[in-house]
Amino acid sequence: MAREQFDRNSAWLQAHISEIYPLHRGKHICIAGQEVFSADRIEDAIRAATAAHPEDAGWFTRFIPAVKAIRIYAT
Amino acid sequence: MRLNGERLECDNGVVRPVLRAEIQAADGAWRAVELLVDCAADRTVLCAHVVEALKLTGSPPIETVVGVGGPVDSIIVNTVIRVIRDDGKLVLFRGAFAACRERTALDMSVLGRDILDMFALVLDRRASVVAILGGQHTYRIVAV
Repeated sequence: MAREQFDRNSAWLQAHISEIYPLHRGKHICIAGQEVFSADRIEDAIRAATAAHPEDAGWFTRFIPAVKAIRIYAT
Repeated sequence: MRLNGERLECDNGVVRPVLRAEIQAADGAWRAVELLVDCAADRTVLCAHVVEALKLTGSPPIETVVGVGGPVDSIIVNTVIRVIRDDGKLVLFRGAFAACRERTALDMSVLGRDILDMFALVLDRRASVVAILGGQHTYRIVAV
């Protein structure tokens, strides 16, 4: 169930990403119930998301970098 | 064994190879995460917002994590990553993983070669394939 919810939330984000990213740069977002919740602190985004959609175990988070840039991830 | 990833749009409209997985949080619950499939990364590294979201605590690092911008403030967290195979069964990766403490150091957790080197990795943008193969699965390159 959680995986199905995760897949739905992820697909929803992909469908709306061009609207969501510009609005929430520099913020944490949590996607739950196919809805975005944004906050400066990750725990606040999760709190809002899980309060609005307590049935959704497939929530996930992203941090949207403040600066739109090409990224290299070698660690 | 086959783990299927996807190409997901991330920052600045760039599409990246990503594996959907779950990580065990401090309270024992499994939480959804997206892992960037990064064969250039020596190690799997969790980003700061995932560590915070899962309330994972850690110990001082044994090795220094260095990104393009230089050394990164990191910790070691003991947790389990699990991924659903193409046949529906679960694969568990239990271990001590590096984790960033700086939010800006890494915006996505990366699945590095500490895990990827146990498998064959297929990244094919043209065919839209992101696959991690092991066990009875392999791949073949053919001239067409």
